[in-house]
Order: sequence, then structure tokens, then C-alpha cells
Amino acid sequence: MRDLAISKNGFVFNPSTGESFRTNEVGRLILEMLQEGRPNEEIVERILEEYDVSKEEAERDLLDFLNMLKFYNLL
Amino acid sequence: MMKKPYIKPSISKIVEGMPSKFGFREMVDPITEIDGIPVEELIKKYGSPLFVISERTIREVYRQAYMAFSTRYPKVQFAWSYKTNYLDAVCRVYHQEGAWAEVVSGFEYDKALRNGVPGDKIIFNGPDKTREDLAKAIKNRSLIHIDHFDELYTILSLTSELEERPQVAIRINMDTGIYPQWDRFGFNYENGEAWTAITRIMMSDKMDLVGLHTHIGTYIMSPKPYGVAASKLARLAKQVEEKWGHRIGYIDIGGGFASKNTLRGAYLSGKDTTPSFEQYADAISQALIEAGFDSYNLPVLFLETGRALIDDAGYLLGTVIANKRLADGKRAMIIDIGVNLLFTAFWYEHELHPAKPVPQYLEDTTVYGPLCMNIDVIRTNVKFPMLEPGDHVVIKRVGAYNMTQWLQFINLRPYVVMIDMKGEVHVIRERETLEYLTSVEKVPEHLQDIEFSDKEGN
Repeated sequence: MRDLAISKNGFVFNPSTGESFRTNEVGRLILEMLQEGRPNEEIVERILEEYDVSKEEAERDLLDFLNMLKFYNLL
Repeated sequence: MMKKPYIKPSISKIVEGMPSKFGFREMVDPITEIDGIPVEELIKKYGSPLFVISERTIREVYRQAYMAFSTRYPKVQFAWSYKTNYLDAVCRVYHQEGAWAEVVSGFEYDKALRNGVPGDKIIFNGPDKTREDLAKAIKNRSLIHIDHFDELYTILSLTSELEERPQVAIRINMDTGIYPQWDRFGFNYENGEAWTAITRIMMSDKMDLVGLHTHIGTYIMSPKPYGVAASKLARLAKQVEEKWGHRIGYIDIGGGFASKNTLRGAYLSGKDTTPSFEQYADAISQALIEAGFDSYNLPVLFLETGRALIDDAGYLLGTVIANKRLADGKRAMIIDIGVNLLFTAFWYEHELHPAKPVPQYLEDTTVYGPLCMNIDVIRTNVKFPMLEPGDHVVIKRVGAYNMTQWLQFINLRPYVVMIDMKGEVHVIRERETLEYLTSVEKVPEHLQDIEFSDKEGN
């Protein structure tokens, strides 16, 4: 996770496998916070501060996003 | 401070060379209204799911098809294929446009009569016509398309009981260069069976052979086989004229034109590959004109096109029930439209659209219906944006076969509404109710009383 190179315009490169990914703004925010080792609660709080979204939706989307990261072996 | 608009977090792997092979635009456009009526308004009023039919589209497509043929051949008559969609309101739009009725059962025949179609403007096709059906059709001077010798002999035997002379055509199957060759309908051309049937009819002198008919197949993606079929029928008509001096009044080329839906597993979209009416019309009319008929006595060209006329006019609106991840990480979306309503999902990769503008992050998604059945898949793989439960979707091109082959299975069938030329919405089929459905059920006396004990286990 820490090795991932995340560009500002949403490209994610995994140097250990050579795979590239595409993410969006909220995805990038989550990845960056995960790299900093922040817990999930803090990530949700940050999303709620910045974006117009309900807590329930943000939490559910975070879980879905984490599942996708596991699926791509990024977590 | 104003908060930024939220877009769901997403991540997808970049696979080189995959998406842009044909330069397809990766976007799913929303369909927010149909003929000017907001989708949300329709669902609010009539519930979800909901079938919507555009009268405007029916008329426009019909006129386009009629124009394509009538500008290439002087005598053209369409007959509306009842089995494709036999809701009364739909049939009546076609009849108002001038189409006759093409039916394949006693039930459809009666429905056409009920819709005010005169008996002599009904074409009676299909392998299953009872003696009573045939007698009725003979009395009404309907055009009976004979499918097999047993039917031919039934009609012959009826001629001794009835005064009217049956107006008949024979159905002919043939090799038109397409595979699989349909040989289950009618008499074969190549092995001479068709000629035998014609001879039997002409020798009987008890019925009038008024036409020749073929139905070469369904969803035919090339106009050429129609040219071959028209040539072969024209040749037979000429032979009948030479041998008995009897003029065949019409040549019926059947149906089977493809609609713009994409077949499952097809490489390219149906919108890009389906021939236009003009292309079909070119092939058919050229074959007929080259056949050498007396130009003052050309046979009428009959067309029984169903699918290609109605498919675009039908929409199915639905609602997202839930989203989930499958075991392999793939996204799945469950909607309230299943194969019970969208029978054609077995054949087509139906176009699915959100009913409102949504962020264009698309992910490979499997779309399931609401049935408790593994086969209930609307799309196995479609790039689709993320919708929330309660959001609405619109499925395009569902006008053909769904409102006749739908199943009353697990759920009741929903409203069908038609938007007329002025933008008025009319219910053309009520939503089914438990009372409607159980009104035809009977419970035997000994099953009337059901008693449950209050105590558990007793």
C-alpha cells in the first residue's frame, strides 16, 4: 500500500506488480489517507467535511472501495 | 464553505488495448423522458416496473417502412403481426395506418375481428388452425395460408359443407442461403412439395389460390435471402400462370427483419449492423420487378414485419433494488425488471440507461432481475454507472414479443401505458391484481377450510 504511486489526476501505479489503475477524486483521497495509516472512521469524517454526502452513504461506499482494493491486491 | 458534490470512490484496473478497439464512446446517456413525459413522473403515477409505448414512434417507423417499399414497388400491403404485440391499442394504431392483420391462432383471429378488421383483411398463418377456425375463416373470406397437407385436406372437406370458396395461399419453405434453413413451416420449394400442393389446390377447383407465402426465418441480418425468396416465389407464380392461366394475386414475403437490438454475443452493436428498410426493400422489389410479370398485373407484395416495426416504440422502466459485489469482485445490480417481463433478455443485450444524469464512472456490472432464479439475468456484462437503490432505469427497444411472451411468474404484470401523439398518457393494459389472477382459480370443497392450531408442534 505504501509503495503505491498516486498521481494527482487519478492514476495509481503498483510498482510491485507493474499494474496501473484509474481512480477518481474521492478514491484518491481515501488511498492517500490509507497510506498515512488513518483509520476508517477518520476517512469517513474527512469525506463528510469536504463533500455533500450522508454518513451512511459514505460509510457504505468506503467499505465497497476497500473490498475493491482487496480484490486488486492493493490492501 | 460550500461542500463539493460527492462522487462515489472508484478504482479500476487499466487494461491496455481493451476498450477502444472500435473507438466506442464509453458513456451511458440518461433517458430522462419519453416523448416529452418525464420518466420520474410516469413511475410516480403508475409504479415500477412500467411498460411505456410511444404511439409517435409506432407511426413514424411504420411510415418509414411503408415509404421504403412503396417507393420501390407499386403495390405494397403490410399486415400487422399480432403475435409480436397484440395489445388492442397497439394493433389499432397499425390498422389506422392501413395495415391488415396477420394472425396465427383462433384467439388472435378473434382479437383481430374484435379490433374491427374485416375478415377479408386478415391473413391466417400458423400450423394450428382447428376445423372451426378454418370454417370461420372461409366464411369471412380471410386469406388462409396453408401450412401442411392435413390442413389442405381439412379445407377441402369443408368446401362440401360451406358455400364460400376458400381464399388460400400456401406457405413455402426454401433454401435462401441462410443457415439454419427454416423448413418447419409450409411446403418445401426445392423438393417439389410446394408444386405438388399447388397442383392439388388447382386440380380440386374448390378453392382460390390467391397468394404464395414464405417466412424464411427471424432476425435475418442480410437483405439478400429476401431477394432469393422473392425470386423463387415469383418463379412459382409465373409457372402457375403458364400452366393454368391463373394469376397469383399476391406474394407474401413474411417477416423476420432484424430490429436495432444487439443479439447476445454479437461483436458489433445492432444499431450499426441491422439493415435498413430501404436495403430490405431494394432486395425484394428488385427480385419481383425482374421476375417478368406483366407490369399492369403485378402481384401485391405483402409484408408481415413485426419486430422491426414495434421494437423501438417500447420502453420498460424499472427501479434499482440493491447493489452488491459478486464473489469475484464484480459489481452486480438488482432491478425490479426480470426475465418474467423482459423475455427478450434471453436473446438481446438490451440497452440500459439511468433515468437521470449520473457521474460517468462506468464499471463492468451484471444486472439481475428480482426473481428467485439463477437465470434471471438482464445483462451479464454491461459498463454501467453506479446507481442507488430507488434510482430508476430505462430499458430501450422492448416493444416486440415482451408484451405477448411475458410470464405471470412470481410477480404480477405491471401497467402498460401509451403516450399518444399529443403527449397524453393512456393506460392500455391495467396492472394485474391478486383478484384478477385468482378469479379464474377454483378451490375444491374439501380445501375450503384451513385451520392452524395455536399451539406449536400440535
